[in-house]
Amino acid sequence: MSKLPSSTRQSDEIIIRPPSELLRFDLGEYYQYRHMFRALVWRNIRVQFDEVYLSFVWVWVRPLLYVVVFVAFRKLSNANVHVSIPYALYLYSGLILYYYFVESTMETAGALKNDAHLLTKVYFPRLITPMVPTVANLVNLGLSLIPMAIMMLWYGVWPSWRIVLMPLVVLQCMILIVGIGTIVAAITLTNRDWERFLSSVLYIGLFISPVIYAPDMIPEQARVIYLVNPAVGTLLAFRSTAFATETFPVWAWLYSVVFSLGVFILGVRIYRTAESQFADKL
Amino acid sequence: MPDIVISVRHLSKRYLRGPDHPLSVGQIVVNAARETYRNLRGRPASRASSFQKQESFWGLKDISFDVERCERVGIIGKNGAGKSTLLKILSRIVYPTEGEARIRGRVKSLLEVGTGFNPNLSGRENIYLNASIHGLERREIESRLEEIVEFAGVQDFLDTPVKHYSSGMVMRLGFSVAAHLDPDILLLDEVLAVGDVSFQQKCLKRVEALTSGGRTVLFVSHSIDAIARFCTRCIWLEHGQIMMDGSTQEVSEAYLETVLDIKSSYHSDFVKLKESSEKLQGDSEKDRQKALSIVKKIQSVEGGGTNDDVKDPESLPDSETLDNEGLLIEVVRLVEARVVTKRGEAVSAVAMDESVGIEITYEVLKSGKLLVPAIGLTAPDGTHVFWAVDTDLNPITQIKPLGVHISIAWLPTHFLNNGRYLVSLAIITPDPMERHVVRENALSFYSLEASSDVNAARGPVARNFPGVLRPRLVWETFVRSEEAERCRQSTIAKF
Repeated sequence: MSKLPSSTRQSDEIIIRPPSELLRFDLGEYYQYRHMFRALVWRNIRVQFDEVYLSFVWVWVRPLLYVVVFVAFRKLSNANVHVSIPYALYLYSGLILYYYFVESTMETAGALKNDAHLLTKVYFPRLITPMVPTVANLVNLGLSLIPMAIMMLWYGVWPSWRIVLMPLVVLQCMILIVGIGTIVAAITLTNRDWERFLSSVLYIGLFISPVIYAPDMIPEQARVIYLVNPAVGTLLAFRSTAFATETFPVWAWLYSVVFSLGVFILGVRIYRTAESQFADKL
Repeated sequence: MPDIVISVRHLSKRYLRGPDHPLSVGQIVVNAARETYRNLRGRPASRASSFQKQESFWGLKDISFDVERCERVGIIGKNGAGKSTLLKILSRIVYPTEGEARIRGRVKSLLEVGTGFNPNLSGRENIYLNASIHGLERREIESRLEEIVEFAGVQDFLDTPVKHYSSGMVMRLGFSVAAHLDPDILLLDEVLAVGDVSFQQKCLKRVEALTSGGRTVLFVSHSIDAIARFCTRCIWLEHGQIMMDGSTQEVSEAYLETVLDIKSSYHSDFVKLKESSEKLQGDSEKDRQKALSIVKKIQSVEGGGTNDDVKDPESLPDSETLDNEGLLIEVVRLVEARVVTKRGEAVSAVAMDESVGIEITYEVLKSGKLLVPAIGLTAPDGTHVFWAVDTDLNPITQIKPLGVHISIAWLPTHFLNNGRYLVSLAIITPDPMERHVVRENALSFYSLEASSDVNAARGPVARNFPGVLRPRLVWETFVRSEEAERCRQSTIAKF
């Protein structure tokens, strides 16, 4: 125990100043704290899977139940959803990505509140906590891909070479999540109403995104408005990487990429500004 | 050249004291509309005006100090004096409003034990989580895991979720991780020492061990005992400003005098009043009466005026006798009294391993009487501990000649417990009983934990000691055998 502390870092100097003079990124510091990030991700995963015995199953059950319900509705109503691949597969692939998006965004937005006990007691680069849920929830997304693979085998739908693009699409989705989440997290610091607002918008988003129907169902005139939603490009691109028959929506996805990056930069900036007040207000 | 590891310059922190509840959507809309209207009229609200709506106060104001390597600095102050704010700024949890601080070296701040513990994770996982939150790498944690577990005493529960732990176990585990972080500079909050008393003391012991190994420590506390125990230097904060910065001894004395209302010295008002009465005396019969009234005034001032702690004014001393003409004559006057150390300095706080003396200075105005000085001691809880008299039996030295005399009564070391003790003074004539001077609770001093645990009365026991005394007795322990019995007999014979 009494071995002397490492002298390598003694030349390091920490300078503490008022926040206005300190708003710059120190990427090296984030690298130093990678262990903490990993530990927090591990905590999130462990906690989720520790609370229930059949957690693996529950990850699958919810989207599958939705699939059953919507497939039944479609059968009964005979609605034309403009879907070329088997409808159950179309639904399932959309739902898992959308749930990943909704849950991670909500958790990111709540990161300030949930980890308040950390923020008020320990120093660490403050952008670590909002990035944790996005990464931790990848496990759920990955697990959800197993039933999808089985369904693909069952229906005989095959992926093309574009499957290598899937990580890129997911990465874009993660950037979008962190962007929206940090904006909401920073705003909810002073006003908790925005969290409710976000959750309402996200649940409505299920119906204005191509999850349960194809965008072809939207009339031409409204298509432009429809495409404003950045989730459209993401969802279509995700399906295209999984199923060979779906074309890759190049422009819609590029729009999503630009939108995500914009929101991410904005979110990080707002979050950094709000950072200076964190411990005062929590 | 001094090796400065913490340098604080003009550090200030402003807090807003306003309505704590967040603005409602309605208020935001109204505010936005008002701002827009102002803008349209060409009178944009300045930032200052919106700032004024919330009252602000300075939690810290213009703090500057330097800490050298290996210094152990205690920060003391009452609640709300800015101690925790300072620690939080140095821990980079809150930002300062103005000023700058520089820290060189690997810093760990412990404002709490078990930060980030998750009840659903096992003890082992929580160790990893907690240590990595404090910036340790997996390798570093692995190499210390065994020590951490052993110190916490949770070997058998390492893979049990922490929610099944007792609260004491959680505390121990949290502290154990904290104690093994191994930083160059340690920022500590007294909240660290929560939990039951014995655990608190165990924590402090551990911190003591940590701090003696060449580390720089900043320790925030409102307990002067804790600071006296392992800080060499002390900074006293009051209303966000540094009141005093110096050795623990100096600062703790000044702090105790102000905060605990310790009166380590007592000066009689008699001295100055006497001069004026002497001038008046002897002129005429009229002046004589006047002088008498002044003498009476002196008595009232001395007896009750300076002291709120006098319990029973009726039992005040008859410190005068009547002379042939029926006039009051003083036998003895208390001039001054102090709490002193062996070095002769007046002190208000004394460590238990230091001897403390009660020095009484008095003027004998009428010789021929047996005068015995006495002191009384009252414990922190109000228990009357003792009265003690000068044990000198020699009438020649006890019948004191005219003039100013000084008597010092020495209390033994390792005798008192810690806390604020009150001292009462008296000068009496035993037979027939005459009480010339009685000043109840005229002095007070603070008995501090011994600065070293070696030979302290607490021995290896880390918990708080109840009672008004904490004497270091002579202990003997033998294995019961014939030889030991013989040995014991011979020892008893020696005493």
